[in-house]
Amino acid sequence: MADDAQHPRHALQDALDQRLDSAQLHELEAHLAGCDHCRRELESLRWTKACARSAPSFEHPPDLEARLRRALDEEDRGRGGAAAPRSPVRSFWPWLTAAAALAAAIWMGGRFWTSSIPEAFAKEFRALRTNALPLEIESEDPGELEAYFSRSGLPFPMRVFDLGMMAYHLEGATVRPVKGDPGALVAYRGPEGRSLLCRMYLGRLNDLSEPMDRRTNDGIAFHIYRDSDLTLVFWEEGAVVCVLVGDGDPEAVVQLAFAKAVRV
Amino acid sequence: MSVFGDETPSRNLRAEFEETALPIAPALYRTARRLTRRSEDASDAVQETLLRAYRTFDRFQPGTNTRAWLFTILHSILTNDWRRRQRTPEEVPWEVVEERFASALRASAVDAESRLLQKLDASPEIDSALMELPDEFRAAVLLVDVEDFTYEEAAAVLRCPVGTLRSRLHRARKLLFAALRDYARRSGAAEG
Repeated sequence: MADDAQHPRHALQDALDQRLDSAQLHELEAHLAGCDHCRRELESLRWTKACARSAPSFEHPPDLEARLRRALDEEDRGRGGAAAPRSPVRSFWPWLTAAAALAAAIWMGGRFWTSSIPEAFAKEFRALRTNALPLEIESEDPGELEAYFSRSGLPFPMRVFDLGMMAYHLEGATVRPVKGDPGALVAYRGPEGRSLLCRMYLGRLNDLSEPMDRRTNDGIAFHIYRDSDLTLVFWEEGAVVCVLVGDGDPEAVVQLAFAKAVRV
Repeated sequence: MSVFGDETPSRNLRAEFEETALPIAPALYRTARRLTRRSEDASDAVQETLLRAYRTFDRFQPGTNTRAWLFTILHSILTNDWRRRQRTPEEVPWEVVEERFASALRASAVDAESRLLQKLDASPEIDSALMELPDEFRAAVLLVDVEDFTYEEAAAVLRCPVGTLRSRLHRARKLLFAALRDYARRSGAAEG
């Protein structure tokens, strides 16, 4: 499907689905006034859309809800009860690892390696973009990637988000060291072949070099770096530093980080 | 992406999940029923969708578009099922779509369409015409025209660029138009 000089097909469909702004609509109306072909096409598409909307609805089986509740019951039994309070131990241990990391950092003499972290991640991103960065596991399934990280002995629990709603799809993951500790790397592929890199590692924002910009959102501090066409956004979640690196619109990368960050 | 350690221990996931996701089950079923063509397959797909969602619900963030999230899971399940059954999406060349559409357009008078629409309103013929569409085209129409998803949401559910969604939708509507005109004309002839 494409617009051509004679008949603006894109615009017809966009008009039908109310996706034209007033100027575009005005332009289309001017065309329709003199084009019987497009008027008929628009009417036929409008008629078709109305037909689809009036299609008889399939009523779900009367026992569907009961069946779903039974399936959830079985799932709960399998995991020992979803409503049961979670073990507080899991909430503490990132802090314990943070304390261990802090002790290690003091023992190692402070800011060793850390000033080049944004630069190192920018290099990783460029390798990822040219498929020169090997991913140990390729999968679009967040659960599968989390299981991989769990098996890999990562020193912190890892969550992998499906960013499909932001048009970024999981490609895979790998574990790569940061400051000598295993760090998580998750790769996404977005619209127009754009890449997005997510890194997580034990550390502190204060160990990094001075950022180009500092932002605060929902009580979370963000450090923003630029490296040529790349935007790198750092923030802390407990003892873990999270990083998003993208080559799209810088503000879009920042907003994506805002959306994903969780206050711990 | 985030790390564990921020959960509220007393959070009742089951109750939250039921409140959030179960009301969407009928819409999931409607779409699954039209994509799988079989009631039992549709029920299975909805159940699998909700179980997968439930397993990751502790990561659910308030403000997430729940409908789109669940439809994305549903579509992923159905796509994997199609792959398992080695069903490949049917390719319909653009020229074929245009020819069918143009032919249907030539055969009809636009001013008669509202009358024909009344004839077809909620009729099984609409359903038959929808079922004849290739899977990915049918999914596009169901999401946008029936379930009122935006292009962006539907594209995210189908894991394709917005441009691809728009193209599928356009072709789907043209094929649907050709099929419905045919039904409508036959229906009119039968009465007339």
